[in-house]
Amino acid sequence: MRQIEIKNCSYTYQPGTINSHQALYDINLAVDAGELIAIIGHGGSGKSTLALLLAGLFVPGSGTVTIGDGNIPPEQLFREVGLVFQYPEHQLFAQNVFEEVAFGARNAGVAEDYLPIKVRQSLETVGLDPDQYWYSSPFELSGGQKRRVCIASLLAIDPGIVILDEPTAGLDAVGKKWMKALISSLNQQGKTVIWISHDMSEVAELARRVIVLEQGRIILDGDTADIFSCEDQLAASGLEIPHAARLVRELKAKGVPIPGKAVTVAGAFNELIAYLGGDSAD
Amino acid sequence: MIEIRELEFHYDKEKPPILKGINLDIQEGEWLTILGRNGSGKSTLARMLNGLLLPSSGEVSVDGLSTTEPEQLWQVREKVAFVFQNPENQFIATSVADDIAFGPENLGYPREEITKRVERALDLMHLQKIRDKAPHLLSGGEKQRVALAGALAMASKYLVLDEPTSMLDPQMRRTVLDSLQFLHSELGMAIIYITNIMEEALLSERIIVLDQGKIARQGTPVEIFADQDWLLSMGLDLPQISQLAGMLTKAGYNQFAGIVDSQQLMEKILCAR
Repeated sequence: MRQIEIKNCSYTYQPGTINSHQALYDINLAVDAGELIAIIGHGGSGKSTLALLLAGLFVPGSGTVTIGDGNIPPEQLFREVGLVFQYPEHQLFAQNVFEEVAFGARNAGVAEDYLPIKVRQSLETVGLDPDQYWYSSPFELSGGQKRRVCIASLLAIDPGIVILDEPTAGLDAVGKKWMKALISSLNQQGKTVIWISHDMSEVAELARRVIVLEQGRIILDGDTADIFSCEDQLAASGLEIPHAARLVRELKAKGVPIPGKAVTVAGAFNELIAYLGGDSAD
Repeated sequence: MIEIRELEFHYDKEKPPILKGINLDIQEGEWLTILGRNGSGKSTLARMLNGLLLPSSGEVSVDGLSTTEPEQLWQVREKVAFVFQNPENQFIATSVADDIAFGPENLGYPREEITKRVERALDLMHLQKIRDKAPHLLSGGEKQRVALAGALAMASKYLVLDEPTSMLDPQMRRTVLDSLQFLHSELGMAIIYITNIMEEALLSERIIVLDQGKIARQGTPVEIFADQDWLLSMGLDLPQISQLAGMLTKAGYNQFAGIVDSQQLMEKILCAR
């Protein structure tokens, strides 16, 4: 089922002024229900602008963005598509965690009696104990916990499409592992998940489809393994493939009879073990 | 040398200290990486090195100057420069060149000396083309290189960086790391580097791992990344190549034990069969 369709879209910041800056050019993109998509590209390539278009928060300068059946009034779009901005912890505002998480859901029309149940479920999904944190000030939580609260606020609205702008930026290994697990589990629960990342190993591990932006244009869009096989194009866009992926490609180039297609550490291990064990899978 | 003796620090006496029992010498010209999960005290320790934070007990001294002596603190800050995670928070001037000049100006150097230092820093950090731009209009990587140029113009001996690349894309990260390697190997600056990116830790000569405010272990990258289970228990990731070498070793191929470097792993595989 088609959930988002972007046709011939461009977007310009402050059009017609001296500061006018075109961020996106001629974007064509369709997102189906249940997809798990990573958007990559170097800084300034238009990733965050694309996220805002996908969420219906920006109206394109030209072209069309269709979300759902296309008949959802703009003020209701947030029920369908939820976007968590980069460093969302800078946007906390409520007195306690309950109020913070309930805010969006209340605006989405969730009944007051039902709100605590929604908030409880959402906090549990993001791994925060509701009883412990219910009355805590969101400002006194750690950075990682704050980010979880922000994601819980979005989950309480229960949108079918979740877009996350660099959700793992600045997290440590434990936080990253947790965030990756959340991305997978939201997708397994049937949500469409689109996330922006600079961490190629995380993209290689999780994404089923990868969209590569450069200077406001989509230059690659396809299956993760296919995208990471375009090493030269990625390098030209300032992106590096994960070290393990590069290793198997270089070995293959040096004549070692391995497939040279792995994108993750586990994949590289399988290729190497097959080779070392003698039953090369060329 | 930066000497840290019996350092303890707490914001709140009622709560457990953020740092305790830290003893550490940082040599001139060394590249030291500080690892540790969030909340382990990395950033707090870094802020002790130039007196942004002062010890609750114990001492931090830089080339014999103590951070707790108010009349020595400015000399300490001249020697120890700091680059933060978010480059937005460290600009004052309206152009790149003026921003780089800010430090030496405050130290009261004569105009010609300031100009000389600024020009050299602009040259070495490849910033001449953007010297007149407003700092807030630069890319993240350029902003961090302006911060490095600032340290260069101050002729700082020690450079402390708190996750300087965590907000940068891979290409910008590369240019910042290249500039850092230049400052280290060509100009002999000591680098004290906090990171969550394990591949970056491989650039250093020594790693210390912090856990709950204490130094849990220190050693060379090869020594630190050898004990994979322990690292995971510290809440740290492994560089991909170490991870792969570790998995191969566990599968019975002992020749891969302890490898952290991609080139080395490749050579070992090429002569494996």
